[in-house]
Amino acid sequence: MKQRFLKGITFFFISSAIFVSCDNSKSDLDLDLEESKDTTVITTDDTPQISYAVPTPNELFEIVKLLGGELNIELVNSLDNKNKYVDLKSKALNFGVYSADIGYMSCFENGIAFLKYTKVLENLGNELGISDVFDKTLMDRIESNEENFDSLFHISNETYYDSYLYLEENKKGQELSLIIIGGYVESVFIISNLVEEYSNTNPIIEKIGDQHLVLDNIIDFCSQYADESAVAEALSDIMKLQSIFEDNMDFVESNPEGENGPEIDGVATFASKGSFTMNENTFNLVKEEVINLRNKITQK
Amino acid sequence: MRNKIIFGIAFLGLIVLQSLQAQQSCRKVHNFCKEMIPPEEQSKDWDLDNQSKSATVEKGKVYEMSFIAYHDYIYRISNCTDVEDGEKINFEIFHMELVRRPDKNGNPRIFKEKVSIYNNKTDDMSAFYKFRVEKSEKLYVQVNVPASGKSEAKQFKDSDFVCVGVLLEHKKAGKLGF
Repeated sequence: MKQRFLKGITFFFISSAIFVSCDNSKSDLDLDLEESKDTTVITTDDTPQISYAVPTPNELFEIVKLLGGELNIELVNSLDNKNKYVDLKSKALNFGVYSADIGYMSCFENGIAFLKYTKVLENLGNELGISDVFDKTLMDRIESNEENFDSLFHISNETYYDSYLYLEENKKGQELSLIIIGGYVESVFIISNLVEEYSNTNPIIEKIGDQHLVLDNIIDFCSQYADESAVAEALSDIMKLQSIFEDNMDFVESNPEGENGPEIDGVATFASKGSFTMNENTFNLVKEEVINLRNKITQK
Repeated sequence: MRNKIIFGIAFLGLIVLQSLQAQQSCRKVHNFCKEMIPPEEQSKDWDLDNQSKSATVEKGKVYEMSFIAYHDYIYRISNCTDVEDGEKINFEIFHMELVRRPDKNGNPRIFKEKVSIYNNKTDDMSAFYKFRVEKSEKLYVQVNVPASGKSEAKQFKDSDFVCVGVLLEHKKAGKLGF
């Protein structure tokens, strides 16, 4: 699948080089992608992949809240930016950004701006062809639950999921890919900025590290649509973030024998022989890159 | 010749339309997987995980889904098809094992190997499975779609396709960390 993406992105960059200029920076970017592929990780399995699932931003925020994360309303994308998004790419990316913002605010029990953000989502959704998701029933439910944060969180989760299904069913892979990328960047931006300084005991930093797994599935999913230039561009951006994770995280062999934990109350525990963990350098690099990516998406 | 082209285009259009309808008819089939779970397991403390998926799959083929399991959650996975009076479905869960070992040139490298961690064939073909992970991981579930039987979806009554659902649910793990 990644090969398909690389083929797509190579086509995209060759096209760009022909139609735009002979700018050396583009060759550098292409080279970086090749280098990022040449990491120490080699896949030895060749089973064909069919479907890639990605946890929603809401699921991440729910965990971050459990880990002691807090609401910082200054981190969400301002509604003042909404008129900047005029092309399909920025509309879809920022639909993902605002969806993650709604998930964050409702998870941390801030319902004040919920309706305003949903109306912006509705407008962006109309322009992306997902108006069916934002029907009157949904808006009525939001208005009647303005003080019920559990319901608002549930509604935001449902809206994201329904938008996802609608786009998937209607073969709008380009829009769906961009929404997923926007939502991912915004959620990693928010949780990274909840942490001021690195500490190896901070569980939120561990959760930031887990996002390299999510990113892997996002890249696999979106690669199916890499022949669309907007998706290819957004993918090349998030692949830089993936390289930062892969090139800088520490590999720890915590359980070389790979012995699984005991089964308790009918729940099995799977163990890994080794895993990638965060360190201070990776945290700082990821935070810096995700701020750049987020600015690129929202400050268009 | 012209008629053949028109017929060809119409035929192609029909296939595309059928495929689109097929996909829509499988919408949220995964919700029905809950019916496969025995009553004693039907507690309300499981939340739907948005990574659950439904798909249209050819009979006799294997459907694979990759998903992310956070170590903060306990997961319950169940699989189902819409095959009328269908037999029990075989499914298998894999994880990507990361192993450091020397490559051909003797340099230490990290290899990814897909390793089976559960197969319901060894569990009386159970329709569901509960698990958690010590570290957040990327997992894979492979569902072996029965080769025979009729789909309940109207579009597939006499076709080679059925709907497959993978229902993933989660609840907060009692204790974070190990």
